[in-house]
Amino acid sequence: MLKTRQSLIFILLSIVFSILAVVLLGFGLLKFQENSDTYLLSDILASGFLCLLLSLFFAYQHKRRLQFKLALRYLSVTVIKCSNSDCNFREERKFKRGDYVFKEVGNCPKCNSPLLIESIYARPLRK
Amino acid sequence: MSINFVFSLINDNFNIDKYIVDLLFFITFAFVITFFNQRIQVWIWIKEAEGALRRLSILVRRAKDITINTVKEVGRPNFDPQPLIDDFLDFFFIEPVSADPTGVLRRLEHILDTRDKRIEKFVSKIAPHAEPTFLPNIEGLLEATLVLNYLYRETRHLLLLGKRTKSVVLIMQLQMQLPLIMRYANAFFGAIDAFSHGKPIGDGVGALVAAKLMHGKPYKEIADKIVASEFEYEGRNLIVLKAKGPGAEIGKPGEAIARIVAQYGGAISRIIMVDAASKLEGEKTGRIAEGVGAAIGDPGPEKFKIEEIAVKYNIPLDAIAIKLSLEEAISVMKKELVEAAEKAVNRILQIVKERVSEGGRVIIAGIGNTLGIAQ
Repeated sequence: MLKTRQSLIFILLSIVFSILAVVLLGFGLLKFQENSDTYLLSDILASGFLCLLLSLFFAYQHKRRLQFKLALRYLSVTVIKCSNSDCNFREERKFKRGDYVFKEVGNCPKCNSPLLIESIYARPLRK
Repeated sequence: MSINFVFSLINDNFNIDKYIVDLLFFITFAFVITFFNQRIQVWIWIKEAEGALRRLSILVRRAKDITINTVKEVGRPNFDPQPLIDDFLDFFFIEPVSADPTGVLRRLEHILDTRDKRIEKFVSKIAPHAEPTFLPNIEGLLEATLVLNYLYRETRHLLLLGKRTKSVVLIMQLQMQLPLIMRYANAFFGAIDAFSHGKPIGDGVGALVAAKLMHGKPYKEIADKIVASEFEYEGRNLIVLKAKGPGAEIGKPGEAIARIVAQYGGAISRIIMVDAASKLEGEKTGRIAEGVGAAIGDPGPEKFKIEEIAVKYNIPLDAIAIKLSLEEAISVMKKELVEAAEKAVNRILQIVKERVSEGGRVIIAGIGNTLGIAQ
């Protein structure tokens, strides 16, 4: 709840500062192009850049909070292999509770020899 | 265009109003930097520590929920285990006094044994209907939750102490330690998934090597939670041992090795030990390194027994280390480690052929937590 509220504050701040950045930079550039009155022009442009930086900073903070998820970033895979060394049957499936290395899990569909769990490992869901 | 812009600022833009605004801005800035600089820095550090503490509290809560649900699902107790588990999270053990080092390892072993028995009894109590092979997994689950809870309480303590005493040093130290604390916390949270489902962990790579060597051969329990298999390989007699799986067991490999050596009256050509070892940053996971000595990461008693018996009978000790990080050691085993186990098996057989003469007898010990790995 607290995390969601904080994340919302960051995205709101990011939006507010981007609007300010667009307004200040747009106004400053317009004045510069008109070349009419350059009074406080440097300050306006500097503030615009500052708002742009702040907007990016808050957007980054929001992204960082989104990244903190407790969801696992890998998939546990069970590799099943036929115990007959001449048979090349091999299968990979999602890990099920109760699986362990060298557990017998039925018979080979090719040669009917016992199927064994060869390994269990974590496969990353994304790089 | 940009040069014109700069010139226009210098030449056309000199205005007394702007000068006053700039001066005011400079004075305010100088004032803030001079008097509030450290306070701002401390405020940033406190905010960072508070953020980390919030994350830690989420991790602890989730870990506790997973532990309680696993206990309820697997152990089917006829009471609510939550209050008992909450109490258990304060469990501690006191290391023996080391000012008098005589027999310190014997005393440490006694305390560790007492601790293990207490945890075993507690787990049997909260999960009365769990399968015996799953009980050690619940023990591991509880221990991982205990560590997470400890990290949370310690971080909270340092943060509150720093805020209360307004000590910049305390807050700075905490902020600097945060990356490591969070690294440990994430690693132990990874262990929660492995222990609650019975998935092999990185630390079990040594046990996996031994399991691959002894698979399909008869084996027997030779010491506390340690199984051994004896078979012939190219004229050499191999005795392979590991913790009894597939539960989360480590056993007492030192005692097992000492017993085997004593049983053969010291007639052992070599002892080869294979274990997971922590890698240095930048090193590749699953890299195999070879050395000498007792490759075991226990608090001391088991390593001492192996070294003592090896010295007594002048038996060479070979060590094979499979490199991995702390996170990888207690999280679900990575594919690189599964592949490394296969390579380590070949390396061991090569060592046996090269360094043990025909008719010789060699002990191969696969050290590590055998969670999710049978034999």
